[in-house]
Amino acid sequence: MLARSGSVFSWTRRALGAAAKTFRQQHTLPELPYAATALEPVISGEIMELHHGKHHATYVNNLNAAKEQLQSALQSKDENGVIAIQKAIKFNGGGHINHSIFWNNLSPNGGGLPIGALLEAIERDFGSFDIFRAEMTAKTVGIQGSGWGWLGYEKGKNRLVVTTCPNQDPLQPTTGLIPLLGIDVWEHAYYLQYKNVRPEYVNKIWDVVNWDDVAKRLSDVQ
Amino acid sequence: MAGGVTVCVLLVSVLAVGSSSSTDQLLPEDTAYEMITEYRDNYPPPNLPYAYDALEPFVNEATLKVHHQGHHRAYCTKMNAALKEWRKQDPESQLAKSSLYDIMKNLSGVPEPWRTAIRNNGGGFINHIFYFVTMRNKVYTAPMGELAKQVNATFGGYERFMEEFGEAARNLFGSGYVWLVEDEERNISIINTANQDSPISDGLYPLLVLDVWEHAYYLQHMNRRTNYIGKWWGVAHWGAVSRIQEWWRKVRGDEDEEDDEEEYDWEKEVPEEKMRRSMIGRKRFQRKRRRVEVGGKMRDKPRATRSCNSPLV
Repeated sequence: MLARSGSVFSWTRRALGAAAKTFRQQHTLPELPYAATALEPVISGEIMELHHGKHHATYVNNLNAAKEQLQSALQSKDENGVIAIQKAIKFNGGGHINHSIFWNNLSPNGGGLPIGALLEAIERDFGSFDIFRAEMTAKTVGIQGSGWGWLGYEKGKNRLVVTTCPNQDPLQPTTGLIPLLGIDVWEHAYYLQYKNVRPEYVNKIWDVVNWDDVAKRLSDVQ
Repeated sequence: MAGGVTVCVLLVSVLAVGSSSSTDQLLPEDTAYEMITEYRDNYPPPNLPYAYDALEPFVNEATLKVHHQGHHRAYCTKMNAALKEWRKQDPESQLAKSSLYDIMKNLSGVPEPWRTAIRNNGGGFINHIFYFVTMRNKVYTAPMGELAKQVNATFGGYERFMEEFGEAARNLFGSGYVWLVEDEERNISIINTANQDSPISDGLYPLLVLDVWEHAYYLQHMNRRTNYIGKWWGVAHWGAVSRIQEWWRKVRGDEDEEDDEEEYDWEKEVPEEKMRRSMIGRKRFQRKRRRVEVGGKMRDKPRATRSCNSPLV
C-alpha cells in the first residue's frame, strides 16, 4: 500500500515536471504594442497584420515544433537528429527573436532624433546622426536577398556598429553584437506597399523608429 | 488519358527533322536565353513571350508586371553597368571579353568589386529569363518524349517529381530558386540555389526553374508560398524545357546523331478537357499540404494554421 502510494506520488511529480517542462518551452507570439494600422502611412495595416499574424506566428509555431523534435532527439541520444534540426532552430528561432525586437523598435510616436546617451554614442562612433543614418540605410538597402540591417553594440569595445545579417540569422549569436535597432528587409516587410522600391521603404521607416526603446536597450547593457 | 495523348500526338505539325526546325515559328522572346552564350557590349532586357495578363489566373498581371519591368530590368541594367566598368578598368582580361555564360561559369576569375555585382545581377538577369520562358498558359503541362522518360526513370513518375520539386520549393528558406538541371552525363536532378546564384556557376545546365523570392508571389498569394507553387504547376511549360534541354546539349556539343523523335507543337493551345491531367496533379499537391493525420484519419488542418509549415499546431 505504502509502496503504491509512493509510486503514485512520484509518478504525479514526474508527470507534472514533464508538463511544466513542455509548458516552459512553448514560445508564444507577443502582442503588437500598438494597433496594426498605427504605423501608417509608413507601413500599412495590411502588411503589419500579415507580418505579425502570419510570418512571425509561423516562426513561433515552427520553433516550438523544432524544439520538440530536438527534445526527443536528445532524449533518444540521436546525434544525427540533433544536428539535423539545428537549421530549423536557427531559421525559426532567429525569426522569432528578430521580430520580437522589431515590433518594439517601431512606434506610432517614433521618428525624430534620439536624445541623451544614445545620441552621444552615435555622434561619437559615426560623427553625426546623419552619417549614421546614411550608412545604415545604404547597408540595409544593399542586402542581397533577404536579411536585416542592424545597429548593434560591441560590448568589449564599448562602441556602436552598423552591420547586416542574412536571412533570419540573429545578431547576437552570429556576430556577438547586442541588437539595438533592426530593419527587416525581407520582401514581405514592404512588398505590398512599396513593391520593388526597397530604398523608399528604408528611408521612410526612420519616421517610426522608437528611439526610447533603442536607448533602453543600450542602457540595459552598459 | 491515352486518348488525350493520342490527340496531342495527332496534333503534331509536319516539321523537318532537326533541332532548329521548331524555332521558325517561335518568337525571339521564346529563346531569349540564347544570347547568354554570345558576347554583347550591352545585353538587352528581353520582353516576355506573352502578354502580362496571359498567365491569369495562375500568375497574375500585377505580379508579372513588377517582376519583369521592375526586378528583371534592374538586374539587367546593373549587370550591364558592372560589365562595362570591368571591361573599361581591366582591358587585358580575356574573361571580360567573353560571353555572359563563360563569365558566370568562371566567377572566381572575375576580380572584385565586379564579381559580387556580376554574380548577383548577372545571375538575376539569367535566372529570370529562364523563369519567364518556362511559363506558358493553356499548353500541355507535362513532360513529353525523352524528358518524360528521364523524369520517370529519375523520380518514378511526374507526380512524384512534382512532390519532390514542391517540397524543395516549400522548404527553401529566404530567397532563392528551385531548379531542374541536367549535367554533362545527361542526369537530371532537383537543386536549390540561394539569392541569385545560378546553376551555371556549378557547371550544371538549367532546364526548369521556380523563383521563390517573395517578390515572385507576394502580391498575389502573400505569405502562402504553397498556393503559389500549386498554381505555378498550371503554367509550367515543358515544351520550353525540352527546347532548352536540346539547346544546352548543342552548346556543349552533346547532340544526338539522329533526331528521330516526334516533333511536338509545344505552343499549340490545348482544349480544357485535355488539361485534366495537369490539373489533377496540381490539386492533389495543394490538397496534401492542407491535411494532417489526426487519430488515424486524414483531416484538414484548421484554416488558421494552413499557412504554417508545422505538421501539427
